[in-house]
Amino acid sequence: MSSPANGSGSITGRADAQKAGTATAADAVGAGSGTPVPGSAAPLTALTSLLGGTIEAGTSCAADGTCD
Amino acid sequence: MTQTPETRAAERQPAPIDSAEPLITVDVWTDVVCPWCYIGESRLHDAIEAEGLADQVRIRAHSFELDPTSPTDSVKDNIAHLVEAKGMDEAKVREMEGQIQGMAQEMGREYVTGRPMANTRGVHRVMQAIGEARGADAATEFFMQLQRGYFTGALNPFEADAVISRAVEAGLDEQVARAAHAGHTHDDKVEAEVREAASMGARGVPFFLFNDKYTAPGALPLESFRQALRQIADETLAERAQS
Repeated sequence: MSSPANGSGSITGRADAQKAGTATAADAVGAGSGTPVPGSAAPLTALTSLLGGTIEAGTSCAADGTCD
Repeated sequence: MTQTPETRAAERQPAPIDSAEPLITVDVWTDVVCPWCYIGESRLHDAIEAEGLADQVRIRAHSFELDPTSPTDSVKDNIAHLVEAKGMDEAKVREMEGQIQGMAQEMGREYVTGRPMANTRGVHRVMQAIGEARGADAATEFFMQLQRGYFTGALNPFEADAVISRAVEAGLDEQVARAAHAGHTHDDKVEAEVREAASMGARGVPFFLFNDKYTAPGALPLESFRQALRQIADETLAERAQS
């Protein structure tokens, strides 16, 4: 169960994410506030923006079926 | 057509059965065989309980297929599947499974390794059928039961009868459930939800959307979920006070 699963390619595992202590992976998807959704007039906001950008990255399983 | 948060929410709830208005709605894109979804949703549930918001948070599950290319008729051990189909190192897979199992156990959850693995489309079709007939809450409860059962070893979501049985318990007519599971009538809805997640930037699951506004990819730590719930609840209360 390897391979980055969060779209960023910068977090290679939970341990790395915890060590980083930042929202690197979370920020990589829907980064920043006011990210518009295609086909939508309503902007979405990354939760990390609400929480101050200091939260630990969430870990995901990727669309190819792998989980890190 | 331009979508707003309101129209998106309305589209996801074709047969509403709840009248209470919770402070927070959490939409989660998830797959039944996704380990991090199980971990993330468990943390979210624990955070809701810890914050005393059990009556104020509504969770709605949405379809996401981790591996739509998985064969429907060839159930394998999940470790063998990753090694054979994805070319992953078996020792690495077992190590990661052990780590996730440890995290689950730290939360007081069971997590069996060596689980069955195949295509999850049938489960998603039935969840969509329940959503149509019984509403989003029933569909979500059905899905979460299947997912918990899968990771605790209590049931096999690749056995049609197991899925149909849970669907009937959720209030879906048995014939409707069987037709949905085996047919293509709900494929469009499954695929639409997958596309919706992608449109918000999801590259995997779990993917959380709070109050149609805040996106969070991945299984966040418990404390992050707690912090988010507190702040979003406060925000909602402030908005309601102003309106």
